[in-house]
Amino acid sequence: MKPTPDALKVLYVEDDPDIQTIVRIALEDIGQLDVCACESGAQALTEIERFKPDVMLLDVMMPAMDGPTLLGHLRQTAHGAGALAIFMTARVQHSEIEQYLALGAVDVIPKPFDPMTLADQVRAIAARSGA
Amino acid sequence: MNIDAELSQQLAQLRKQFADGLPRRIDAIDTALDACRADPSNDTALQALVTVLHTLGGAAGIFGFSELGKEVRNTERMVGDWIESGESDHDRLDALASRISGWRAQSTLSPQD
Repeated sequence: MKPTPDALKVLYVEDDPDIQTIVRIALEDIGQLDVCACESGAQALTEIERFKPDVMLLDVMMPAMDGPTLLGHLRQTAHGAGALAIFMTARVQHSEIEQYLALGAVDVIPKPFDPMTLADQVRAIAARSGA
Repeated sequence: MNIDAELSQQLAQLRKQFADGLPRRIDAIDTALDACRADPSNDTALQALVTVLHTLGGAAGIFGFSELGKEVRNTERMVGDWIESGESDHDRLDALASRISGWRAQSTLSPQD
């Protein structure tokens, strides 16, 4: 199913192929969002200027480059400097969430999430944060 | 077939695919645990164990294995605490090996939700 031209654009970075597949279905097929899925931080850094996302949805723990490090690099790019960042993680103790927000994320989506409502969650966070 | 039925079928297929791959994920945890048992003070090995636990802990609940996911995430936190406090030892790691055997039994079940 093709997203509408005004669909929210989400750059999604996740190294686990099973999770990546279910999130793509949740965001694209169920939520009608425009998604660019990347399996690594390096790929995300290559894609960001071409895709020009409204939202960067980042897994926290990834090999080679973790989500917080990746966010730092994305912020150095022309488009990543202003895009909204949301972390997606199973590490959601209070101190951990505070740390993600201090890095400039607008919110954190805890794993496990419900695939049926994930796109609505992303949309609500984006609307609240001005995307 | 309408779109909702098609999506439900697609999600069910992904859950099955994840369930089929669970033994392989638990094998990866076992391998990481073996490295820790060889040297309980090796923080790099313990960190690698945290990483594989984290991967399964995050995914299991999404694919309908809520209880397993909770257990794995609690275990990830526990091993993380061992790293911070330097409390990893053979007894703790042996107990963890028994716990992981239990996960293997759970992995043969169907998703719970």
